[in-house]
Amino acid sequence: VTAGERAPLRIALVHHSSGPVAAELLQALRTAGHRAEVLGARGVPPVEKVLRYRGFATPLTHVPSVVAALRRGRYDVAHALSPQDALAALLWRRRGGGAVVFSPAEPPSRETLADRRLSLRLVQRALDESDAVVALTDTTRAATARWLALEVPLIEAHDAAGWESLYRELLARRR
Amino acid sequence: MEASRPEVSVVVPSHERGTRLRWLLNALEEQTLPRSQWELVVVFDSTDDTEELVRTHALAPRYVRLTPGTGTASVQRNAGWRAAHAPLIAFTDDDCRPEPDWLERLLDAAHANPGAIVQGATRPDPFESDAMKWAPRARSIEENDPPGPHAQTCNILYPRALIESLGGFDERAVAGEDVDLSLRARSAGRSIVAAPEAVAYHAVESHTLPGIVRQNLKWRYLAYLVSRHPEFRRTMPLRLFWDEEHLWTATAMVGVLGAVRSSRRRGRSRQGRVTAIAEMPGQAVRQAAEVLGMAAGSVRHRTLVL
Repeated sequence: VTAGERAPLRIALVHHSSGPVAAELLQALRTAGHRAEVLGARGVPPVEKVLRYRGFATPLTHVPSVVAALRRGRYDVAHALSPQDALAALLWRRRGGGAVVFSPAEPPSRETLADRRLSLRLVQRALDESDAVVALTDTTRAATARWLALEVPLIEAHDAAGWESLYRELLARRR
Repeated sequence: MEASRPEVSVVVPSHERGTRLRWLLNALEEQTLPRSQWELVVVFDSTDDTEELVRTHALAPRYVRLTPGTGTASVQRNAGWRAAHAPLIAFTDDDCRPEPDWLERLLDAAHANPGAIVQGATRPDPFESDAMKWAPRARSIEENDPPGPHAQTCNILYPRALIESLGGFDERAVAGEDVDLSLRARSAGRSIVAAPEAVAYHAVESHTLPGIVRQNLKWRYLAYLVSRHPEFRRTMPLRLFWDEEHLWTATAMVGVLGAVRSSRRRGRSRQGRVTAIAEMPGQAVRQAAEVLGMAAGSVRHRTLVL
C-alpha cells in the first residue's frame, strides 16, 4: 500500500435532495477521514417548475451547476444517488473528472422507471456508463435485479471501508 | 410419459428493448393462469443483452434468436408461432404489460368462441400517464373497445390452425402485418370476438422530432396493405385517410396553402412578404369564418355551397 493509496479521498455525493441516505453515507465517509461533500440542487428555479409541468423527470436544472461544482472541487469520485445526479457526474467525467459511482437512493420500481419524460433514458445511461453501480440496501439490490436485470453488489451506507475499497479500485482502474 | 401440451402459447417478438422485455416477462410471471397451461416463446433479433435476460428469467421462456437486424415483426411472429406447441397463440409485444388475469380472460373468451380470434383491450400504461399527457410527441396504443379494425397483435389470440391455414403473417408487410392477417382471416369467414376484460397496457414512447419523423416513415408501407385489401378503405375516413388526424392535417395544409395564395396580393417585395406573413393567422380566421358562414347557409337553404 503506497502513501498515495492511503491518502484521504475527495468524494462528492451528488444528490438533489437531502435525504437520509446521503447524510448517512456522508457521515460514514467523513468519519473514515475522507473529504466528502454533498452537491445538489439549491432551491427550485422557475424553469424547474416548467419542466415538471411538461412531464420531465425533474430535477434537471441543477445539472450544469453540479458539473461546475464538481470541476471546481477537484474530486476523485462522484457518487450519484439518482439518475439525474448521475447525468451530472457523467458529464463531469467526460470533461476530465474522476470515477462515477451510481447508487440509487430509492429502489427502482415499474411505477417510476418510465413515469416521466427522459426517466428511462436517464436510468439506462446511469447504469450503462457509470464506472460502478452499487446498491445501498438489499431492497434496492433485489429491485435492480427484477426491473433492470442487473445483479449489483451491495454496500450499505455506513460501510465506509467497503466504499473506500471500491473507490480506490475504480481509481486504480482509471490510471 | 409425454409432458402435457400447454393450452396457449404466448408469442413475443422483441427488438432492442431488453429492459421493457424484462418488464413484460415480470408481468407474465404474475399471470393467474397456472403456468402449466401456457408456454412462452420469445423471438428476438437484438444486439443488446436480450439473450442473457431471457435465458436467466425465472419464467424460463423458450426463445428463438434471429440474426441481428433480420427480424421484422412479421418474421419474428411467424418464427414464434411456428416454434409454439399450443393450439392457441396469444400475441403481445415487448413494450406491453398485461394485467395478471390477461391470459385467463383471453382463454375464457377463446373457449366460449371456438375457432374465433379474440382481441383484448389495450390502453396506454397508467404508470406512464404523465409522459402521455405532457410529451408533445408521445405515442402509445389505445383500443378500449375491441374488436377494432386494426386487430393489433399487442393483445390478440389466434387459433394456431387458422394462422397455419392463412400461411402466417405476410413477411412482405413491414407495417400493418397484423391488420393484414386479420383481414385475411375475416375473408376466410372467421370472426374477431372481444375480450375487453383481457387488458394489456402499452408503453408510452416519447420521441424527439427527428426520431418520430424517422419512425413515421415506416407508415409508407401501409399503402401495401390497402393495395392488398381495398375493402379496408371502408374503415377509413372518406375512404382515403388512414385516420381522422390525417384528414384534419390535410385540411389544415390546404388551408395554409389558401392563406399563402391570398397573401400574394401584398406583392413580392420584402415588406410585402413580411406583411403577408403577419396577416396570415388573421386571414386563416377570416377564411374559416367565411366557410362556416356558408356551411350554415347551406343547412338553412338545403344546398351545399362552400
